[in-house]
Amino acid sequence: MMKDLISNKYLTLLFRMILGVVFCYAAIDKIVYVDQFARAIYYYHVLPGALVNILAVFMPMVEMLAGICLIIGMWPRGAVTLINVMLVMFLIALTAVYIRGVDINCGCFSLSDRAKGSAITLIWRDILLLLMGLQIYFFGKDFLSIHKLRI
Amino acid sequence: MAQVNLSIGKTNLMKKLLTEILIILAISLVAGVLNNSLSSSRIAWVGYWPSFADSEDDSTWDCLSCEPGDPPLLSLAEASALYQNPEIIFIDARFPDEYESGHIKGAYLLTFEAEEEEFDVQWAIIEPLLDSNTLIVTYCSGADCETSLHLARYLRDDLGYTNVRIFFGGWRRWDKAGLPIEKVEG
Repeated sequence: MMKDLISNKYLTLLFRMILGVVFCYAAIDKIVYVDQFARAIYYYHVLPGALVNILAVFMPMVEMLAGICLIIGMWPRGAVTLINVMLVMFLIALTAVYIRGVDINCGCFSLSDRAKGSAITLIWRDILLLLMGLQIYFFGKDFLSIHKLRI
Repeated sequence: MAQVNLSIGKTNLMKKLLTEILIILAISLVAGVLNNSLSSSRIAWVGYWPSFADSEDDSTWDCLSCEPGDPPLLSLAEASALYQNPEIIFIDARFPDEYESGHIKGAYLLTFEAEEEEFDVQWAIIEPLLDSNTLIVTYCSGADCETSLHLARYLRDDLGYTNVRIFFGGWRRWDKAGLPIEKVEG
């Protein structure tokens, strides 16, 4: 009963749409304002300085493309694998930020409740999205998918 | 035989998955290069970002958001020199809980990111102490936060205080140097 529910194709479709829209939406600002996104990455203080700009240039494009692929069902397994990897990376970064008390709103060191609250909220959101991503990865059946139309 | 087929099936699935991932990454790579070449907010492919430890030292810090014409930045030595003059007003731009747990001795709290009502209450304490030429020094947590810059711009551009400087090393640099600090008790 539980397994039927978890592997339900409509649930997978719903999760695909949610994840796809969330990733596309999140990518737009990062693509338009590359410089600001680079600074946001730097503020996490988890990457060597030399990698910050490279990640800022390419990651939003991967987010956007993987999001679109999930929505239309093109290369859905590859797209969801990339999305899950990004979610795990983000989770690790957020956990490091939380433990070290870095305020990602300003990149500064802070033990304030506001700084801790921001990280915790993002961690919970990330876990929720990751659960959706795992459901798609393990139970995705190409329902309503361009992928399926291929000869 | 069935096991061999299963194994081949798995390998094919893996190959297919890997191919999909590589295609998405390749397209993203090209799109990223194009976007960063054409965008008005483009950045260097490899940028210099100070390490967290470097940013403790204001002599190596490059103010990322500073623009020509912004209020001048002070080094620790300059800020501590100005601090000797009690007529110079130091303003802490951080949040109240950060201010309460430790701030530059004698500094006033003016939380730049506070709600308007809270900001007005804090400002009402500081405003009577100032005239348009008073030298004001703003600071926040450290050299890698920017509320001191934003507050300094606001004081100068919106409120008309022409003599504003920024101690960009901020609270951490000051505290680390063993300069006078105080806490709000209770």
